Amino acid sequence: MPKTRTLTVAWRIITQIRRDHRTVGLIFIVPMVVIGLLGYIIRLPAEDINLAIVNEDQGFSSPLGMSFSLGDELVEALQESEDLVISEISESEAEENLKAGEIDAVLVFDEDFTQRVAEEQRIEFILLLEGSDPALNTRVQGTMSREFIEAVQRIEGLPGGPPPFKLEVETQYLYAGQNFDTLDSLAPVFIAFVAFFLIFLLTGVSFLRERAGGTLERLMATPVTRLEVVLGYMIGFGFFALIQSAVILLFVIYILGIHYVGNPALIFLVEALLTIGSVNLGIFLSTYAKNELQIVQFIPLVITPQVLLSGILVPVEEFPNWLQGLAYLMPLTYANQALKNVMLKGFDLYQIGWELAVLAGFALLMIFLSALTLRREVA
Amino acid sequence: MEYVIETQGLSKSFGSLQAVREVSLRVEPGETYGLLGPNGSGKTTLMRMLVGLVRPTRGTGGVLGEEIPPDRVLSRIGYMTQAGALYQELTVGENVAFFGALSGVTSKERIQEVIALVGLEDRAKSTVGTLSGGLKQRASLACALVHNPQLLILDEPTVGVDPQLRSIFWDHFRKLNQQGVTILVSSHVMDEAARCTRLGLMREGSLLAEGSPGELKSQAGTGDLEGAFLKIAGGSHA
Ligand SMILES: Nc1ncnc2c1ncn2[C@@H]1O[C@H](COP(=O)(O)OP(=O)(O)O)[C@@H](O)[C@H]1O
Ligand SMILES: [Mg+2]
Repeated sequence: MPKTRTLTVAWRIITQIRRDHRTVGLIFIVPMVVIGLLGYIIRLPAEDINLAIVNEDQGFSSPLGMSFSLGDELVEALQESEDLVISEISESEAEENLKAGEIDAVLVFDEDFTQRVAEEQRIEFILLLEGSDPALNTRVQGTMSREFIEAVQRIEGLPGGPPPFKLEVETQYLYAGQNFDTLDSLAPVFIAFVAFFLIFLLTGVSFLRERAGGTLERLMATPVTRLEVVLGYMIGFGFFALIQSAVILLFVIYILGIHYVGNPALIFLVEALLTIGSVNLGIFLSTYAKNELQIVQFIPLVITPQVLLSGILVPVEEFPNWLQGLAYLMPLTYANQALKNVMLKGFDLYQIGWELAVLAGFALLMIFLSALTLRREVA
Repeated sequence: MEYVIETQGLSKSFGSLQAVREVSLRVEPGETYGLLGPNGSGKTTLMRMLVGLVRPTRGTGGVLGEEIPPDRVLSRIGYMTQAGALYQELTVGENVAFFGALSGVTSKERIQEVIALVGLEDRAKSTVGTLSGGLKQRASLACALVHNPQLLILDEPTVGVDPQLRSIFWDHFRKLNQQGVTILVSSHVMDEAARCTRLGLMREGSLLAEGSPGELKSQAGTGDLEGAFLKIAGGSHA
């Protein structure tokens, strides 16, 4: 048995959870299954895109009699793409086939395509989509812009020689490389979310049981102080949260092979601050719950807005201003930002200083609130 | 003479309900003082005020020389609640060790000793959740005793306990008494009342009468405590 009362409380929490195999599974196995499945789905090889090309390009004739059709060249270059199945059709067929679902997209080069590119030094093309499937839309657009860039680069090396005007596409990736996928940016926020959500739920239920089972009353009749109880809870649950983060981190790095350049100590620091906030939020809100179901009822109130607004699904920067304001009230927003910056961009302690400060402030506020509700007057 | 517990006009209201009314109580060292009264008469609330779990609405009180709430002397008080209140996932030994550690007792010998005292040696490693009601009650008593408290506040410690075990419990209390431990115990069972050195009869929050079992019987002019209680308390208690 530990020597101090705080550690005694922490020891008790750890022992209780260790005994409860379902909870242990919930903490360690479930997150790995979820992120594993998510990773699998995200990385499923996409089906080829059926692209029909309507090529009416009349080409470009220089005063010296040289002729060149960028449309023809691009059709040829796009044929080499591995993700596209190309067919050439007439404009009248195009719409029909698109509606019938036989093709996914139609690329149109109109009569003066080359002419215009030569004059404006800018490539613009028309892409027709059926439009009713947003997931397909996004995928086609993404693939097309990538393939198009590659096709243009390929033209340079064609046996017919480079086109008589400059075609240059430049893409620079500031961090990591172009084979960066959705999972890479999802993994950091997943770690933060899982820790916050599970620890909130577990503390809430634990504390509720402590109240309902009368052990809190008994605890308060011993020399242990409110602060010691709160600290004990923080250490006990923090212990599991940090091991959980380590397990998820190792899993996503070594099994799922996500890109990772950060300092693990910083990840644990962010995680620890977030957990302190979430443990105390659990204690605080458990005061307002009469049973386990009522703890679960806090999820739409506490967890859902954070999932929607903290940038897990849509980056916060893309929100309208008023919604950004709301997002920046959520602790998870800061944890997500800090973890993304550390894991993907290798930020150091000072670069995530602001996020850490906000998380620490949130943790302090929650400690204050939970200690306040944990008055001597238990009943 | 220093009283172990001394209150003056101690009262507690929950909204318009007066749970405890003007209770002035004195418990001397080495006594076994029994609080006797039907359900809802305010016994639990009175005890909770004494350990500092509930703030009195009015009145004053002292426990072991400390004004209530007696934060500084909590390590010398053993408190056992009506509900038993143990951690179901922990073993008997772990529960006792946990409450011991919170009161500053970490000696393994003491923990084993107190488990043996309540007769749970062979169940020390059993998870509390798997024990019967009676055994849980014994484990709960062990948690209240582990730190050798000078004052035991026991709220209906034998509720739901079979008569045989109840008798074992009271033998313990007697022994502790002889070692100088003061006991405040609540009950609504009359045969337990007879084993107290002094009794306080409670009804609707008020302390109606005090005295040894013998004094109460002669005061009421009845041959048994049950009759004495009915007569003093007005006859209509549950
Ligand atoms: N926390 C509380 N809030 C409101 N009423 C309470 C509370 N605790 C006790 N009471 C009421 O105070 C009265 C005395 O209760 P209690 O002290 O538990 O009596 P006893 O222990 O003698 O059965 C009862 O009417 C009970 O309903
Ligand atoms: Mg009671």
